[in-house]
Amino acid sequence: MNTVDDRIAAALRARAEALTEADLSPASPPVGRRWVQAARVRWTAPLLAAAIVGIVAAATVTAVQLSRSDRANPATTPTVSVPPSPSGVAPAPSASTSAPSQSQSPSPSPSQPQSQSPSQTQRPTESRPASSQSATQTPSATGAAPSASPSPTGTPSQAPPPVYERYQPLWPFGSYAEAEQWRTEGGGSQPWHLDPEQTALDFTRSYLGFTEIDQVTGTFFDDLGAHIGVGYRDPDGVSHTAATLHLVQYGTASDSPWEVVGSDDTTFTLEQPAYGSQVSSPMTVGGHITGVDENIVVSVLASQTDRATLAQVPAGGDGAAWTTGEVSFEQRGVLTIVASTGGHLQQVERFAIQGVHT
Amino acid sequence: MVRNEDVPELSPMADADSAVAALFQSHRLAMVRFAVLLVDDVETGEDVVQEAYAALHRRWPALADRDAAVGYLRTCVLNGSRSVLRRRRTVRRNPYPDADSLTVEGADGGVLLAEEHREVIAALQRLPRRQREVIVLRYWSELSEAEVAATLGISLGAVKSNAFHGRHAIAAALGGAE
Repeated sequence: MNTVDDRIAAALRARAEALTEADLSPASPPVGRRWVQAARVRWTAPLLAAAIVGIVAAATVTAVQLSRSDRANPATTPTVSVPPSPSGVAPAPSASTSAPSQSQSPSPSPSQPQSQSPSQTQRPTESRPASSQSATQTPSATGAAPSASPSPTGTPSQAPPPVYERYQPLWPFGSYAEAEQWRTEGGGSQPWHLDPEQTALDFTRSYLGFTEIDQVTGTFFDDLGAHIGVGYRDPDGVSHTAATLHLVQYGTASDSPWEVVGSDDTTFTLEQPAYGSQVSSPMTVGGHITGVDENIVVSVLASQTDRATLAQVPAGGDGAAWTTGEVSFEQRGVLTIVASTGGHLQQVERFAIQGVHT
Repeated sequence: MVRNEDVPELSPMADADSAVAALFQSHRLAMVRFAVLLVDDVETGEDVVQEAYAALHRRWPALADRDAAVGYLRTCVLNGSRSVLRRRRTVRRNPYPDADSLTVEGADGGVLLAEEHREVIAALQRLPRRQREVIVLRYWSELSEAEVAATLGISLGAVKSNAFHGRHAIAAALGGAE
């Protein structure tokens, strides 16, 4: 079982449940318009004060700018309409001239979690160099990912660890050393390693064996890598996303290969055991699903040939929890747990993966 | 555990007083527990939760929807807890003679926990804020990764990454036990 997961959950429960109703101070819910008005009044004075300060500051800056403009362009402004600054020295820029800062906490939203399946392709606009020894580019299309990369002569970097170190590598490389070996020795062969879409499709079809899934339905790049929708087209020609796979570039070089590290689950999730956790037999696999008349097949893969089907679970509902109960397995090492469901249009219509290790 | 299905049925037209009062009765304790897991003391947690209910009451006309209400409360508690932690950091950076009174462990600091739980809670308290939030939402609130992402306003990938690192940090603090 997942000892750490169990211990975290148990400790949080113990800590939270140590607090009972009896421990709470007596309190009443807010009621009535008077309370609301009081709350508003409480903010009125500071807001008014802030507004006045802002107006005064803006007026001061405007006056100074006009004054400087007068001195800079005497020919065009022969008539002094605003008195020049007595000292002739512009005041230091003040933060108070800007609008009052706001908290950066996300504002509360009543919205429910939204699907994050990619709906359109968002390719990086620049092409990746065929080969580069500078190794200074990051895999991110946005440029906001950790930008520093190891340099033989560089100074120690304060940058956060590379994105690939944050995830459990699943396929096609078992380790960073393997990926680097391919990059430095075999970069010319199997060029699909440089294509995240092809890597995602090959993972789905060759490694997982879901051969009915035969197309990329969407591609999205962000600081955390590539999110590739893989799916199929139904008889009416409508495209369906079976899963959104998360890939990272396994290395900091521009020609580092892509690695599947997980899936971005929405309506069909695989949440237990936790991502990246250590597992042992028996374990319980579970998650949530939205759908009707589903038959979830759960498998575990240590390699393309070392695999086993663990359970089949009927499920359905709106965000309904599903679980296999305890299931035994013999696979060892880095494991990919796969949950798939289908049977309406084709055998596998949706799937989710979780990377764990023994 | 705060799950939307636990929320009592409320008419969409229920007025703010009765609706918020019902939620107050049914969820105050759970919300205070959630806040305490984030800010570490009951008194502050109660204040944060009271502010959250006040905000819900003000905004009720815009979210007369039972699913939205609990999510809104949870996010308000989360944001209120962040504000508390931010103020504590500011006080620590700029201490004044009475600063200790704002930074000491709360009255519940001596709460009796089994040794193994105390180790986990201590490790949790040392986590970066985001990782701690993800761990609490995943393991105590039992939210799905998508729900955690929506609550925190971050991507699914970021949720996974923070959960992964938070969990590993706790495991390391426990002596590498897995």
